Amino acid sequence: MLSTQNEIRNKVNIENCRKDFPIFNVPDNENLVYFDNASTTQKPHKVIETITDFYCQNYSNIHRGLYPLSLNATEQYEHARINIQQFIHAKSNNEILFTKGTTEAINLLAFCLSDNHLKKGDEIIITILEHHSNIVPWQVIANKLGIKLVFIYTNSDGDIDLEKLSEYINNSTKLIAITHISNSIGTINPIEDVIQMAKRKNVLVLVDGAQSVGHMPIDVQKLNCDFFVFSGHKIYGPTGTGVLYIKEEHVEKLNPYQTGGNQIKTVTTHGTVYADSTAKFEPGTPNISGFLGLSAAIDYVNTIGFDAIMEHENDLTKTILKRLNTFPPILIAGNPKNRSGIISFNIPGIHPMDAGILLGQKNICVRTGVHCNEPLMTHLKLDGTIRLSIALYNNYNDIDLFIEKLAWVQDLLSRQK
Amino acid sequence: MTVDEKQKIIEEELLSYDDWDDRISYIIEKGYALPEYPLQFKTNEFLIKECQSKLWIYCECKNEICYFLAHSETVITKGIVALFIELYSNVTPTEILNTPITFLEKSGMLKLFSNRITGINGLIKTMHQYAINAK
Repeated sequence: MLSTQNEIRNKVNIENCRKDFPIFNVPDNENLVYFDNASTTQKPHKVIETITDFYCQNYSNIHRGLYPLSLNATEQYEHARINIQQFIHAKSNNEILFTKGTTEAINLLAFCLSDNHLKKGDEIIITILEHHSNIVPWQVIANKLGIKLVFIYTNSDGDIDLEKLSEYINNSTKLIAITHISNSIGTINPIEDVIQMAKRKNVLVLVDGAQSVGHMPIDVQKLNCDFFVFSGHKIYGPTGTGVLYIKEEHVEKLNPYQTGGNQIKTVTTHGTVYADSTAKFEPGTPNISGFLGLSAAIDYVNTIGFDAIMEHENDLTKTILKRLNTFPPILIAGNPKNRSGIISFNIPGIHPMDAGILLGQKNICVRTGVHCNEPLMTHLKLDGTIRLSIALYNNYNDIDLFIEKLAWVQDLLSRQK
Repeated sequence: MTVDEKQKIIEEELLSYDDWDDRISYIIEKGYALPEYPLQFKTNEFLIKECQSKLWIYCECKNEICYFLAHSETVITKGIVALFIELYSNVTPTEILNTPITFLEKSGMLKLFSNRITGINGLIKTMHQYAINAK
């Protein structure tokens, strides 16, 4: 069996990275192997401190009060928006809309588009790789408005068929909603090609960046997508934070999804005039501390830099695949041309849930099941998988422990048959 | 033997293992030992909907005594169901309905299934429903 213990990697000082995350410093978690990063990531000190400091020292509501505490809170909150704008290279901070997460962002967009852009007979193209959160909202509006929802399938490697996509784009196609990275088999979709195809036919494109934003640089202007969504908690930020990027030219055209205070120009007894900016999509008091935390998470990622993160995560991914391939009879789901650090697999004769429970008791955190990807699992003829997904704080010791415990699971479940 | 007496034995057996590995091995062993489940009952009608993994359960009542059969795709679930069947098979519907299942909590095993509590409750509800129907 290959050993990775002694491999030296100086490209990212991983020991230092890991120390930034307090969860790994808890004595009981000494041997914690956290490989469930596609679900959610751990939080560095910087994020936790930012949130605590805000509540302890600077807490107030935003956009309303005229006293220094509130003015400072507003400044910090709007700085977070600018920080996120710069992080994904959006043209303006007016293109950055804060949500609870990717799911709310997609629902919000689906509602807004159904309100004044989509109509009966239109078509929306999505892929079989989508998370349920990028399927169900479109199914709902498709049923409501009489829109055709078209699925693009993958080959057995998990790569989407671009030729089919090109064939499916027609005059009725109004939107392509596509994930950047598959949350269960790790395919990195060729979204640049997809967007180019769409733009030639004037079709809007939504990119679900939930699984990419923490692992590769994003430039929404270069991509030329119309919408980009992600969740803060998958990029070392707090839960309950998400972002919907809306290309500026669409901001004015879309109507609000929810209504209330903090989003208006004027309200009279006769009616309401909404704000011109993305503020019109953000009624009510938002998750202020959460977005300050997300901004701190982005600062943290910027400090390390995507060059180092990508190199480290690619090395880890290759090593995991190599180790799993020396572990017969493991079956890895998909073999995409470009892949991320999300790897799904099965051990014949062992149910993923049994493996998940047993690994969990050995402090190995992986996800098991269908990963909110039922249509993909059906397409790939899988009942579920064991999924591991890496982040910048994972290291070679994690891989060794994981492989060791996986062998134990296999032995335990085979022994008594 | 009453359900309570059987439950006490299972509870003591589980608690007799100091090591978690031994405890889970005991459950896995029970899972593998579960009698074969008849194919004709492996249908949606007998599926526990609340369970994350597929779990089928069938009950037959003869002379006011209940007999359960079950199957799951996961061996750990099968092991837990096997213990439930040990408790609730060969007893009257009244005894089933009057004896709550407590061994998981008392043996500290419930925590292991805290994310699957809906499935366990669904299983208990179904077994109780069979008992109600048999009365």
